[in-house]
Amino acid sequence: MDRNENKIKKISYDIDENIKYLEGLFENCGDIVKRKFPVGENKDIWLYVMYVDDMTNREIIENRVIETLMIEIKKTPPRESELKDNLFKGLLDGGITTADVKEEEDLDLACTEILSGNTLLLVDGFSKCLIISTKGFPKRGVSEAETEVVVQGSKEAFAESFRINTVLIRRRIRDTRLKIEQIKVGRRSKTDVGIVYIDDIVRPEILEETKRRINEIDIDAILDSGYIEQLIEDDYLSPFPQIQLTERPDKAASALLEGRVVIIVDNTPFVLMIPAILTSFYQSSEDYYQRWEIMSFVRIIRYIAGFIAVALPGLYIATAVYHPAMIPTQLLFKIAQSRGDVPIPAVFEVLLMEIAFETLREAGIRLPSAIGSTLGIVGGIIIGQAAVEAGLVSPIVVIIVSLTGLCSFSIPNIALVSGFRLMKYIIIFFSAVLGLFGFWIGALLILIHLVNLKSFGIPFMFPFTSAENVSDLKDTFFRLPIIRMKKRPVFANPKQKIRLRVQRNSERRK
Amino acid sequence: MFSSNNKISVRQLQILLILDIFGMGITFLPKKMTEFGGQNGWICVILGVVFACICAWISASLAEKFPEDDFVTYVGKIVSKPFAVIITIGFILKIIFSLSMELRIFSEILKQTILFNTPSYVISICMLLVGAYGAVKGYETRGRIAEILIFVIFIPLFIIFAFVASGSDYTNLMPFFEADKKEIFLGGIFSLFTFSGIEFILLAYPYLKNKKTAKKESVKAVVFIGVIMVLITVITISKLGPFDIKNQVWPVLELMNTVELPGAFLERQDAVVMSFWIMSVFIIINAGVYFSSLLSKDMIKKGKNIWYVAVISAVVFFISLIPTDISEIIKITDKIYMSFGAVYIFVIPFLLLIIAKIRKY
Repeated sequence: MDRNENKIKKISYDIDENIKYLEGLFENCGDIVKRKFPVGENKDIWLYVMYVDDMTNREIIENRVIETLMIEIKKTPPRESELKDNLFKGLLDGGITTADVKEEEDLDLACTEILSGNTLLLVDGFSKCLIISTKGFPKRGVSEAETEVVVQGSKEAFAESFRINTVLIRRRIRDTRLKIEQIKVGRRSKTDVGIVYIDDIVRPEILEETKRRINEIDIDAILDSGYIEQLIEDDYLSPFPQIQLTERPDKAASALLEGRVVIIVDNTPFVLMIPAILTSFYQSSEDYYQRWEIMSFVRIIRYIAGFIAVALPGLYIATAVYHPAMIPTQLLFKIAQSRGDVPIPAVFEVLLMEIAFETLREAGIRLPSAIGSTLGIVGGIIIGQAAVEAGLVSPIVVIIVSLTGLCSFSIPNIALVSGFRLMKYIIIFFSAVLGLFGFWIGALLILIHLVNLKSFGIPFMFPFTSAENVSDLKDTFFRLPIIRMKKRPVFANPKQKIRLRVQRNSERRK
Repeated sequence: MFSSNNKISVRQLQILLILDIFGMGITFLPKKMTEFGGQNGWICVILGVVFACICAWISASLAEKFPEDDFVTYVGKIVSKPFAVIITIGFILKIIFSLSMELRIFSEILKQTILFNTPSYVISICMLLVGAYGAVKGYETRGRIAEILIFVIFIPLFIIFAFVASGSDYTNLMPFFEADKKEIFLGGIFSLFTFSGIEFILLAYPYLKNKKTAKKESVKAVVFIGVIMVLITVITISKLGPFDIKNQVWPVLELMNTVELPGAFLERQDAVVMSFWIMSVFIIINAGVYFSSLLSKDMIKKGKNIWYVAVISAVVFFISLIPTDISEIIKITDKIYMSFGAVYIFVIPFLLLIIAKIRKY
């Protein structure tokens, strides 16, 4: 049963009553370390420490707290007799030699602190306790980004530890206006969630909306940032992501500078970026680090790949089954030749190969990378080849399906690709039923859904819809030279639009 | 800035007007115009554009006087509630009937050109459902989807007509100014009715973000689409000649199908031509369903939008099944355009504007 959150358990003046309460709460919790010990010249002041084993830095507890209190304190003034009633303040000011110490009066909040890796210090005769920051649990350090790999650019990725992640961002933006608001979400998990933003660049309405939605979450535990994503997004029925995830600190920093809100969740190496629109899923952080010509070219390729990933199987079915007259005669002969002895209809042929491909992909993710490549060879090449030779599928379908898969990998964001993957089947269905007309029916349905979608008030298809001037398009199909991108995108507060100032008179800018 | 308030920008209104007007009319406009004015038929269209601009201006002036009221409310203010209800019901019927006919024409053409074995009612039902789905989502969604579709529709159209235009025989347009003045005038009036869609300006004002520039900008949009219609008529007449056109049911579609695109990969582009025509008809169907359900809702003032859309879609579907063949549909369409169309595109806005002026609104 959950404890009543509203009732505050005040710390009692009597240390034994507090100890009794705490030991009741932590009964059968084997990972808790606790100790009651006397200090002072006459050993008549009782203290009580409590912490979670191995979630804390023992060196700090033993050297800075216990040793100081039990031994060092006797050697240096002020004497216990001089302190008397001010003992508590004395401990705070001179007894404990770390900077991060705070007072706490609520015993239940103190429990949360203990469970977060801090150390509790109770003093007999005082109705408050000390919380000493001693967090130091085993954690993975900063490693290389695995899902968003770039050729040129930082290799760092976020880690599971909350603090490491905030450091990775703070290191990139050394500005006091970079704010990190921390709250705890989850009744049982009490997960640290950080709302990160730059105070004057963020749109206040987006920030308020984000905070409101996060505060509304009432769930037992947040195990991953994916929970937060799904609980605060605009339309949970949509297959398209409305919040962007990234494991790259440079990407998160650039999002912050665009005026977006970044949400860091403890225990998750992926942070959330709010809001997210379609074009932001097509952007890779590398796009901005290399020359604009090649990166614009790559952008266009990605958009075309996105279209192919959704549309190609459907288009093939529509044209091959319903409108063969459209296909140039020679190509038509080739297709007819290859389809000649295939016993199943074209629609099922495509579906069969698509499902096989999806299975291969799913199997590949779960396997260790060494076996994964073998699987690719066995599954993809050998089975594909054998199926074609056995006349079960036509080579053209194999080409279509692999091209579709290939194109889906060239979009930098996995979540968007997942949306596209599902939409592909809707298009296949309609194309199979109504040919090219069906293809467009499916496309229109998806389009209506997409234009209707919003992410925290920003239309998902912005700037293709609702744009107010042409300059909003500068970072979409093309990535204009950085020198032309003087303004922040739509996410930013309208008062803080300018991000780059170019010296007009400079010789080389002519 | 982007709050979900079901409002559209003036730019979106312009694009919607362009797409709502374009679409059905264009498929038979050149044929009709040659019936009126022979090789000079395009002059009728120019006249039609001038009339259309006047109508757009009248409608916008009327709606502008009551920027926050819906149609039923402000007509009620001008000519009392009962008349407003009658006018609104007529309006709804006009939209529903022309929508049904357009839907039927669309499915018949599609059946004849690319979907030979599919029953036309299946095509109708699919198109109607997609249009209704868009209509349920509201005005804002319509505006946004139009912003995307205008490129999908007009860029291929532009490319194809550029090729047609370069290979046309412009002597077909001669001799100039030979046609009877009266015929040209009548043709002009008729071509005005193909600008059906202008009357939606009457309904758009409460949903506009910036109402001040809306009147000027919507007239601009009408001019834009008018110029396109004139160009298409000129090109069609010069390519096919006035006599050939009369013998064909859908000369514009035929024209686009037969043109040889140099270096094109495709063997025949009819299915591709149909593709962007499907888009443009979608917008019209969507507009019809949306506005008729909007009017019904404004009139009855109860219930959810989705029920109105559902009922109207069902009605439209059954009416679209009534005509037996294409020539009958074309006759009915002509009648609708000449009667209801005339009333709602010009007569009613004009009268209402005058009464409103007299009553000093």
